Amino acid sequence: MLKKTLLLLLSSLSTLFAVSVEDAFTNGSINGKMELFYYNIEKDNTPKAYATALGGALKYITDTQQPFFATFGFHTSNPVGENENKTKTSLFNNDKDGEPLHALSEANIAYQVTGRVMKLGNLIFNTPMMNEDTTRIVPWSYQGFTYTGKVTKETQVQLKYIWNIRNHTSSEYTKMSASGEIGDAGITMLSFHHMNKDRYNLQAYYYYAPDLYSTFVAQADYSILYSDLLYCFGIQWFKSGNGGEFNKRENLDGGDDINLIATKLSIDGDDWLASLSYSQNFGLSGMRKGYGGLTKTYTTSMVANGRANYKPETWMLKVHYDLPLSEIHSEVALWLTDTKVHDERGKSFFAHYMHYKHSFTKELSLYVRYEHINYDEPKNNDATYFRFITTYKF
Amino acid sequence: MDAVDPLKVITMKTKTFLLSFLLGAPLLATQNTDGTEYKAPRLAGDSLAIKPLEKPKNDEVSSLEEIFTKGKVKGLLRYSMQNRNSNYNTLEKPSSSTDRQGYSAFGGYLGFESAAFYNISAGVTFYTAQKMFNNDVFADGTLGGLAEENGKAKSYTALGEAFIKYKDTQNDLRFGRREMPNYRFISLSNIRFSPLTHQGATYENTTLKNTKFIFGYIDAQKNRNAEEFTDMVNAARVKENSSTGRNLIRGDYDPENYDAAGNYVGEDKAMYMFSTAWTPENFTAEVWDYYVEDFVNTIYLYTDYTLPVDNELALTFAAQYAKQDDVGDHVAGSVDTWFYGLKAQAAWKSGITAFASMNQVEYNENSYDGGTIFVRWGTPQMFNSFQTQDSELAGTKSYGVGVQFELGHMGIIPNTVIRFRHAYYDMPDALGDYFAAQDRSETTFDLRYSFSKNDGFGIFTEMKGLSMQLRVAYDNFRTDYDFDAYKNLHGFDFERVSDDFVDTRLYIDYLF
Repeated sequence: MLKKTLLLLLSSLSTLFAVSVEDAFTNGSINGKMELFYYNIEKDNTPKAYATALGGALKYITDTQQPFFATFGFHTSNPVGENENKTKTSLFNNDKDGEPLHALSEANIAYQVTGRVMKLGNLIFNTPMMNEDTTRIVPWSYQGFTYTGKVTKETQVQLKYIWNIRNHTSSEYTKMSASGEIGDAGITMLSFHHMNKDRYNLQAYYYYAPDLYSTFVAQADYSILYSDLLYCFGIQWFKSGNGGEFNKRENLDGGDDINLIATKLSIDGDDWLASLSYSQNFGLSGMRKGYGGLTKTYTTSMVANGRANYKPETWMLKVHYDLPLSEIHSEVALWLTDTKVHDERGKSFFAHYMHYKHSFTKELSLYVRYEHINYDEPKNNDATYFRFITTYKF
Repeated sequence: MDAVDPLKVITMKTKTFLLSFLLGAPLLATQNTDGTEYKAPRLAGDSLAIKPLEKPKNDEVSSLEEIFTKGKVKGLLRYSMQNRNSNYNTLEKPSSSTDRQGYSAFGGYLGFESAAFYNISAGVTFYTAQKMFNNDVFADGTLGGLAEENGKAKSYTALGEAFIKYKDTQNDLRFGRREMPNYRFISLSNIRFSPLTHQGATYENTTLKNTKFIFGYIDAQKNRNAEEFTDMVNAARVKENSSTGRNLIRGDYDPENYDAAGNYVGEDKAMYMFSTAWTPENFTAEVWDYYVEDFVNTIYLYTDYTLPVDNELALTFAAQYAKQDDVGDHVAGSVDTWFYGLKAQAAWKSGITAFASMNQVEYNENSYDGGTIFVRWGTPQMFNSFQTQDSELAGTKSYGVGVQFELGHMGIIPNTVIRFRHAYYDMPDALGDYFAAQDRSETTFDLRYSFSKNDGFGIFTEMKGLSMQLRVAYDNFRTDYDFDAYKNLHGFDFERVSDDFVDTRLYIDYLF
């Protein structure tokens, strides 16, 4: 009797598993993109660097209506045609001298119940000091655990624990963050996000990385519609401390002496947008990439930014204008950046940036970007950056 | 309907099976459980190209927008491990508890192929194997299951397929990198974690009835555990010297083409491939030619004939022959070798298949590695290519037998196929033989279990859904040689001295 029961039980479980898993894959979804990316870098007194990359991404998600679901995502970036000093473009695998880069950027299993999701595995996400960085074909990604839960309809908390990081020029997950090793303790992040859809947006993040450095981030944004114009005002504060074994205080990408305050005012019209941003880092540590990706401060251009080390103070003016050339979207933009440093070891500069962005269809787009940085000190080489990007998403 | 006692059913089926086996006569059904016609497996060795999954035909669409929205996804989630516990290299390195090779990994592939627009489609597939559990125990290497760096197992991710395809009812033209499962010497050899994939252009034509022409230009191969592609000389694993110092290259060649470690570093070489296959009912005749510029030309002939004895039993007879010669600048020196093979198989529709086969490889000390056949572009084609022995080494005479039971089809154990094989490999082992090797035998057991199909599949059949494969091989080597006398005579150790070992492989697959 016991044997019969056991056989029936096993048979039932096997059938249930087979049906459930089959449903999860049958109702899964796939999306991807193809990208052709040309990047040219010219600096005074430095050999130029240029390369063209052909690549993209493929991502599959099993049925997200089920409590358990899984995500698998790959990215690839391959050099095509002529190139020079291609590793400088950060488009390829710099662990292998600029060979093609293929990465398993996402491979995670998720469990969800109403308003709460837990994920475990290789992850892509966006937080101010740890994010994907979409400025190349292959993004950054992270290995760890993440929990996202709604506390109220408008309030969300997140808990993340990251033990390995893959940078955007590598296929390997290691203990190395953008700012240095994270050690066995990894990075733990706790965040709070309150969003009133019509008016304001409050965010706070705490990153605990005892072997590197810990960081607190707070941001508040407020918007109001007045005379058909949308006015937005925002303020940010980044503060780090608790340097650990691998901390380097004066690191450009991050250290235990970040103390940056930024503010932004923008006005959004029918077919134009203008914003003025200001930031000052009172600390010696930079925060260009933070723990990974690109740190999300208001004073961020394509390359120029106010996130460097040695106490930079930055003004940034951004103007966008929508062109009547596409039913989807078409725009030009001009951004100006003026940075002065309050430590003689830093770099003061003035930069101007332009772009043209055009969507031919919902799927196909073109993005042309240009930036020139003119440093105050002759010893720092002026630089020109040019990117031509075509993307097809499906 | 009366309740069925599963234990009683198993007992009955066991008796039926034993009776069937002892009488050598079929007593059971000739249809699969799902109603499809039972087909005897093709020759039941590893040597033949594994029949790939019947892929659904690409939708033909009339607008560019639909080529992606109506495309097809393919994916495999796989856990796989291999463990080879051996006493390899007993002369050069005394055996110890660290003499283990293998890997443990999780991964698979994810691919997408667009719908066809004017018969043209495109596809990409990523492959990955990620270390799982403790791989440090495999101190002697991963056997190609995972990548390796500084003696440590390493995960890998690769873009294995990226191709454009034109396909109509009679023409199939493909350009790019992809799985090439059906070109004999060029094939998947999917016996670790990821298959081999190849890069180039291929064209297949089936205009003439029962006849297929294939033309190919293949310039690179991605090895199973590699992230990038390599040229066809490196893909053939050409080395200047063996690990013991034996000169593998014979005759004239340019040493500048090899680095200090004996690896080929000369110009990349591509392969030109041609084939014609004639397949009227119950008969196959194939001619293949693989020409790798400045390296080697391979001619391969294959034929089989199936004789349906009655409604239950089919006999198949097969023969194979290959000749390899150096060509052009002969970057690997002189190559002048051949092999042939014969095989007979009996397949009962009850689900039992038995076979016997033999192979012989030329022994020629004036040919690369004594006449060893270059086979590393795909699945070794020798009939006696079993689990770890491929029967391709210089001078091998091999004799193999095997039997496969489709237990699900026979009604004995649902969803299960098992196979037993044994082969003896008689090697050139006289003291004066420069390319001497130890005689050896291999006994294997394979099991395949499907969670979704009861029958109609073999050990390697690609199946949607969850399935499991277990493979075990026991290899026994003769060790009663005077290795010291060999070393005194030739000046280097006897090659790859082994005692005996067990090679175990496990695959748990979910294919969607």
